[in-house]
Amino acid sequence: MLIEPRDVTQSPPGPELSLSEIARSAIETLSAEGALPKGAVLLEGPIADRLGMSRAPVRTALQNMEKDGMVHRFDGRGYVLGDAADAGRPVRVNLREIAWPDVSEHPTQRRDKMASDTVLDNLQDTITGIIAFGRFRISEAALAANFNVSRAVAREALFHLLKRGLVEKDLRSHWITGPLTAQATRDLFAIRAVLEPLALRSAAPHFSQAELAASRQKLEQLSSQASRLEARAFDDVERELHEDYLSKSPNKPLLLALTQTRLPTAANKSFVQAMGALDATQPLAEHAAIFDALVAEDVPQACLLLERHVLASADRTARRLKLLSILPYPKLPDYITEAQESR
Amino acid sequence: MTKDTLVVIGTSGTLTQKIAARAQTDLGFAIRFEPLDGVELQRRVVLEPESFDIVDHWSTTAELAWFAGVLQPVDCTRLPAWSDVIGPDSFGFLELISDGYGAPLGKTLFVQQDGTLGPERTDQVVMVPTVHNCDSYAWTDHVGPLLEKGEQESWGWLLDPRFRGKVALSGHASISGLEAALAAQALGLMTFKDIGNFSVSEIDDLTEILIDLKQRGHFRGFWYAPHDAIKMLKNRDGCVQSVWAHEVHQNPGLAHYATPKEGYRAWVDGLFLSAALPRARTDMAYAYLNWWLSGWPGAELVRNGTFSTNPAAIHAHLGEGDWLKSFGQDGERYKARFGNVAVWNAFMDEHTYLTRKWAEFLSAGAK
Repeated sequence: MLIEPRDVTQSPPGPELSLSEIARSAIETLSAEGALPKGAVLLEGPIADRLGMSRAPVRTALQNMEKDGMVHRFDGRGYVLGDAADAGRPVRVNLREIAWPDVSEHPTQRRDKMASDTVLDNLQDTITGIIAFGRFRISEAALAANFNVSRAVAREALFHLLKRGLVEKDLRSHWITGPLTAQATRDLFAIRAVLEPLALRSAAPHFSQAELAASRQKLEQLSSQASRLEARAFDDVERELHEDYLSKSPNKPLLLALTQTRLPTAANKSFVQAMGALDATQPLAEHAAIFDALVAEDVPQACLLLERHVLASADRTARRLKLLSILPYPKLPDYITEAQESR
Repeated sequence: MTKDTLVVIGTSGTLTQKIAARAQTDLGFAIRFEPLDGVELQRRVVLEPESFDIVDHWSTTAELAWFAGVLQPVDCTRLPAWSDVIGPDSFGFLELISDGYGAPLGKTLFVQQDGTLGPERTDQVVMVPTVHNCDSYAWTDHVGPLLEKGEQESWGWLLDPRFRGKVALSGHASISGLEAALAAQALGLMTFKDIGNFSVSEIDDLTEILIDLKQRGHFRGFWYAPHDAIKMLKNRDGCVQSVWAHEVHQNPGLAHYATPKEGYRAWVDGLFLSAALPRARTDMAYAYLNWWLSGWPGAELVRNGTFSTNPAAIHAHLGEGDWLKSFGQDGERYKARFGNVAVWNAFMDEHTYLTRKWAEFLSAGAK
């Protein structure tokens, strides 16, 4: 496959380019230059480090490239550059030693956007990892200092997470996160159990048989590893059904309401991170049944199964939350401290 | 003797040198006991299942670990004494542990068809129950003058203002939380929808009551290790005090052990198998499980003041005095005790929240 090079250093991409697109274009540039040969193993961590961004946009870039057939998964960590045949011949390249384009040389506006995205991604990852463990205070000033950005940029990231229900402001106007309780988990899942079938019903006319079949096929392939599913695969499966498919609903207020109910997925993420993998036999079977109904164009049945799946997930998540409570306390970054109860 | 070593992790309560020595002699292979602190042990179970073969711990740990996917089911058909454990000669053990608030083991003992844990009898269990007991609190003669004539013992004593400055509790949130809840409910200070599984607002209310009492100087202190509990009783620091039943049993004459009118706080420990148990040590692991049902280890624990499963096998290893004191002639003492359970130890849904609020209570100072 011929990859059109895009030199992100010399001619900065248009103003709409996101961090993940910058990451993608950097990978494509190096691939075209030959610095990244076909078969090169691409890992989120080193690429994110060298590009000075968090892992999340790099992950998105790699996922998008996978969808376009430019990288492939293989029997190991990360992706392999090139087509399916290259995936059978992975080449280890020291990603930290090749000459990545300096994406910090972007116009100021872009840099601010990048900085704000970096803060947001990192903060969200951090909060997701700790929210089940207690109540924490986030210092806006320390957050800004930690990422070397202005207070305004730090505040913007926090307000963003406020909208997603990940942080709140207490009576003294301190930024607070957690604790994610079993009660909150069940409450939010109860909302999802009602809203997600609604979203599915309105989204279903926009699904194609081909994509449904592909999703079903993917679940089939994962079923052999379901009892010890890795974090990334579990994340992908969850995101595909609950976010990607549902986002095809034209009912935007409904979708917005749903984004505010996803807090408990933090418990699932922390759990898989801590355990390395999880037994996803039940959830995968439930997903498969939903896709079977969609493929058979039985939308009411799919909605019913989705509702049951969400309620079953509530139970599983509450149990995972309980398990998290015995795991070692996560390491807190400098800008987060344990919060005392405001009584 | 085979060269392989069976690794058992648990707490110092049952992983004693005496038991290790006897087990190795009886079984003819090497056994390594690794006693750990409760939370440390739970982490090890969940995060490093390949580092041990057998766990000897609380039923609540088995339930957590089962959900985490780090255990394998115990095949009851490989336990010849299993039918005795759950049969009529066990004085109704299975029925007694299947009822009540909290986490009665009988409700999650059996591996169901769908792989979850439940009460329907199958040939697979999550653990082999062994040691179990009913706990309450102890009181010393120093509070005698404060009692009414013929006053019945009640969990309420732990929070009763009459005993201000004389009460000591355990510092462990999940256990002491249950006892404080039983006390608050007994005094009519609050009620619980499910006293074995507090809601967030119930935890808030309970903590508020406890902090208020603490600020009035109600509590003499808090203990973490059982030997500290005994020391407090000896020093007259705690005159009404939460303490494990078997610790008081081992220190006769030290204090009265209460039979609260509300019932006991009960628990079951047992043995469970790592999912990573290698095939090569599976026979050894089952030999060890069977050894625990063989009588001698159970008798040893009964002498120390707890109960163990398979009483028929234990009887032969126990002096008649010890047997009568624990089980009664036909198990009547045992049945009376376990028939009077207010709540089973539980790992609540809001465990994290409870732990956090409990820490607030423990660190609360004067007003």
